[in-house]
Amino acid sequence: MALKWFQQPSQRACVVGLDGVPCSMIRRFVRDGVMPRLGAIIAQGALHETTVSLPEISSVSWSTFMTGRNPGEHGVFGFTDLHPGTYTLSFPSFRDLKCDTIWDRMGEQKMRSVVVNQPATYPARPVHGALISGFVAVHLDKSVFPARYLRQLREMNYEVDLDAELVRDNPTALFRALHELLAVRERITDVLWSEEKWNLMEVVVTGTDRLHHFLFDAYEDEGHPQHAGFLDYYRAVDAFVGRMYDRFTADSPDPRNFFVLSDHGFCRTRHEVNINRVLSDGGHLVMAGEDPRRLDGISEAATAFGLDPSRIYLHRRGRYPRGGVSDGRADALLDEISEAFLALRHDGEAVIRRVFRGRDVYRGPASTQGPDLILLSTPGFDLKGRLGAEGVVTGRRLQGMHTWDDAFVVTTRTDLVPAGRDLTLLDVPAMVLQSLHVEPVAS
Amino acid sequence: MSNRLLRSARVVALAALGAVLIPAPALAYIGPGAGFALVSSFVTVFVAFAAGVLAIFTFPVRATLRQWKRRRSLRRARVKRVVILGLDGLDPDRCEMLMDRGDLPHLAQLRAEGTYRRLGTSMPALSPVAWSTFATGVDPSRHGIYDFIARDPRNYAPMLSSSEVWGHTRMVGVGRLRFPVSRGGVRGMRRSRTFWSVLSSHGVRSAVMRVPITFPVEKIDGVMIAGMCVPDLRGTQGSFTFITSDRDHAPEGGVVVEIGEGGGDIDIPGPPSPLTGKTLHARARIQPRNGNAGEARDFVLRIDGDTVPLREREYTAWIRLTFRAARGVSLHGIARFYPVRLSNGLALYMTPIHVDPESPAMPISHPSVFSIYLSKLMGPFGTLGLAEDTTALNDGAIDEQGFLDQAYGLHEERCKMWRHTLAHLRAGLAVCVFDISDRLQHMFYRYLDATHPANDGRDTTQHADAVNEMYRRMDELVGETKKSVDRHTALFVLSDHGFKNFRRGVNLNGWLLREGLLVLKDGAGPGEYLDSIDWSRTQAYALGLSGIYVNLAGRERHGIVTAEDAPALKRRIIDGLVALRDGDAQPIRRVVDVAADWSGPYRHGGPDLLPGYANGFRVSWECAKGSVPAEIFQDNHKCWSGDHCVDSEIVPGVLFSNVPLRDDAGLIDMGPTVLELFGVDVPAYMTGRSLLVS
Repeated sequence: MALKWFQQPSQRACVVGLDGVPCSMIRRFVRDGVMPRLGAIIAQGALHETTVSLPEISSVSWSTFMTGRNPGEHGVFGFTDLHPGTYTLSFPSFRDLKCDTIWDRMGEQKMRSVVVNQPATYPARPVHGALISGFVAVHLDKSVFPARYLRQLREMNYEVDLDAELVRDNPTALFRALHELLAVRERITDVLWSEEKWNLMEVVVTGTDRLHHFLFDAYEDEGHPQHAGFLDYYRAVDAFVGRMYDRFTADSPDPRNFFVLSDHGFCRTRHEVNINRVLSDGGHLVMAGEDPRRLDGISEAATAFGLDPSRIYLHRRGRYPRGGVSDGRADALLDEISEAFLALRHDGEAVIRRVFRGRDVYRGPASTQGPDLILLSTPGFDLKGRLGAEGVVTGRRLQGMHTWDDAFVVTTRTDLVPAGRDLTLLDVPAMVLQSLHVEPVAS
Repeated sequence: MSNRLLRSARVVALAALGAVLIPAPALAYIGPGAGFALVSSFVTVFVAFAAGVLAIFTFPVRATLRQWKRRRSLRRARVKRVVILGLDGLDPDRCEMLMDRGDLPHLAQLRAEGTYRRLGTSMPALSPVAWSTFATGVDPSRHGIYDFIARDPRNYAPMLSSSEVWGHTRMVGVGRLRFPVSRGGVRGMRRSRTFWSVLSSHGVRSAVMRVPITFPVEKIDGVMIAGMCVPDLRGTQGSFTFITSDRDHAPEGGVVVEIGEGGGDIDIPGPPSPLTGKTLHARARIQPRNGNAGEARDFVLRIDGDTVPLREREYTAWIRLTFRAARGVSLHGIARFYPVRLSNGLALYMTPIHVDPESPAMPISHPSVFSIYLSKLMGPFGTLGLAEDTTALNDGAIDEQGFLDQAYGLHEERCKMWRHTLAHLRAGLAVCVFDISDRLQHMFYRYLDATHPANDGRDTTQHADAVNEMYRRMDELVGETKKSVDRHTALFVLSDHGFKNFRRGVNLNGWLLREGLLVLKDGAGPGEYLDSIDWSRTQAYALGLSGIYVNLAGRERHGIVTAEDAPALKRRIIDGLVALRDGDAQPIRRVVDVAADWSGPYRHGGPDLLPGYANGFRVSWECAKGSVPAEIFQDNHKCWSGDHCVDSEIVPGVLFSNVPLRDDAGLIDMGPTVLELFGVDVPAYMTGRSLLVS
């Protein structure tokens, strides 16, 4: 017993991430008894709606969560970015993260983290503990730290993500793959739970985001043939959260340190909106190259361009090879572009509900690398940065899209919830660190 | 707990390793290999020993801790134990009549000293639906069980509503054998969450015995044996075997096996092989006792080296059947044999092959060793969900006496199980459902109605008292249960629904056909099954015992009714059915429009309309199977002569308790009531409300 007592970790916290699950969906599923276990946890603590960082996509949001800092500090602004000084698209990886993570900060205090399926952590790098990358991860052997778990993962047929091509139009295969992914995620979590000595256990369920993109209609339309299948997946997720909670509360000094969060909301897509088409219609984006779909064909006359999903960059002199916009002209141009987007209507409905200035929302050394404007669309209008699109508003390719608001956090540490204001995603890592008595670093 | 234990064991092991590796003066050079061997074997033994000692020494502490946790969780509890005796289908009218006659002293005493209520049931009033509502505290639109069978909207085929079995998804073939690479499985289809699972989260133990729709079993703090809808070893809901020397006069249902008049070898068909998919057989031999065919009526059954004497119209004990798929791969079942005739030719009825509780091939109990434990304790017992073989009586394989003997045999096993539960569970929830009350009333209701069409050509006197006798036996069981009830125990005796006469069957599909809402393919006449329906012109169809489905576009494979048109169509069907007349009688009292009347998340996937029949009526046999008969009403000539799938308002169940309760009690309120008794907050999604009087 003495040994056991000695072995007891100083403090523990557990975080379950549910990628892309809106707060409104949690409310509805708890009310209807589809998620009874999460309902019981909320009854012990609280459910809060949150807003997330901009733009509202997984790689940016999770980077914000895992660093506890805004994109102006961590430097991830999207799934894609431009190589500095070129028009070549690159895919920011974990290596491009410009500041330390909460796991690094815990490690400095000899506290260990186990992180399973965390998006935007590829390639996996050493942490004080263990880390398995979430999407987008190309090779499994670069997604695991320490590498000794690789064999076990292969033996259990671990997969980071599902094969979109195989399941896209086949709901049966989609659901089967989703349930298998959830099961294998739980299996490796079980292994790490007991093999590792840890202070922070974090597991992210990403199948929820995949399901929403492919089949959000099945959620909204109760008569949809896949509606029951959709609910059943959430019943499985709920059971998983319940088991994590039972295990955590039985095995921790402070059983209240339990957090469930999502990285963005979700809603049904009605139309896709091509922001670069809006820019070219307004004379801001001028292409000179032969292929209108390649950004390196941009003309010197162009004053702005957009990147997925909602980022607008001024074509600044000195920053881009053919950039001609001087700092003096920038403000006037941004005003003009903002107004153009805010004036955009489809069937009488405003397409863009808000335009953020980069300098207002990002703070920190990397904020100059970020976009100048970030657009926030009316729910239902999915913004796209593709070039050479046929029109401004086109048909949808996926059924669901992300939202900036309507994300959520559930915690039983209600004493740590900042009072008197709405919560944002940034408050969650701060609460997690506080629950472990680790000093959160102020942004 | 064990993880931490392992971890500490590892530390001990490392310390031991260190101690061994500390250089000691070498007396002789033995070589490094020997040293490693010594160290590693020593470590293994030491770790095993240390872990064992640690586990033994910490056991009292862990047990106390667990006890303490449990006690703490029960601080707000009003009782130590809740005992629920479920008597499927006990009818309030008959209970009251027999209590007033003095036939049911124990129930009458409960009524006088405690509470008696008519217990509101679920719509539809069917056991799988009602017990699911009991277990979860929600209506069918929230737990998703509307019937025994559901339909697959992808192909309109009927399927079991309560569980889904899937095979091995990936197979590798070697010659004729195929080996599974990924495992198959079975999944329960009842949604929402049981109140014993909620209790389990709060450290309250439960013993859940034979409650319908608990297969496959869930993991709870406590024990569980699954009830209604556990399949037999063949994977069906119960298929008997008839061994006969006269094939021409075999009953229409079941599996028929031929045998010579003087006996001989038989191959009893069993489950499909998990390796090849081909049906496996168990070899048995029926022969005259002394090998002399002349001595009639004196036969024995030889199986797996055992010899069992056979006597006419007497059940054998449970006999173990082994089905060998390959070396080391066998499936085990149990069955009882009932020689119907041993002279002038042979005829033996064999019960469905129950999953052997001592070697269960399916998840029928939690923990999985629990059925093995019970079987060792009390001998083999029936495990099939619908264990009492009503089909065999319906099809004429056995007669009334054969059915009663079988049913009471199963009942005795259940009683033994229940006594054991009551004696061993001192705190927590004990719940057990007894089925005989339901099955017997289904099969013997005709004796209560002299003019019942099913009496035609059948005995009407010999078992005239069978139903009342069963009520008296149930009362004895109540008396026995009451004995174990002390002042810290809350007792509930309840049924999931009552009983009504079933004289006339209503062919909903025939009516839909007449109304032009259901259209058959060109050339197909009435009387055929769903596959003769022309889906491109059909707006609604009926399947199963409870409901009507709209052929909804986007939901059904060949759906033609748009979501906008559905309400008007449903209105038309409701008005038409309520106006329908059989002579002067109104067969359908009301129709529930599921999507409009209920609000749960599963209100769009099941049947869209639920007709509520009047006493004497039910959906017809043909229509329930998905057939389209021409006539709309049919007399019911089957032994299955009573039923309860009528309007839920006219078939309430009963509720007796030693606790004061509110007036308007429903089955849906039982979960919340039990939770409140244990001081556990009732989850907000439960639509039932606690019955306790504050």
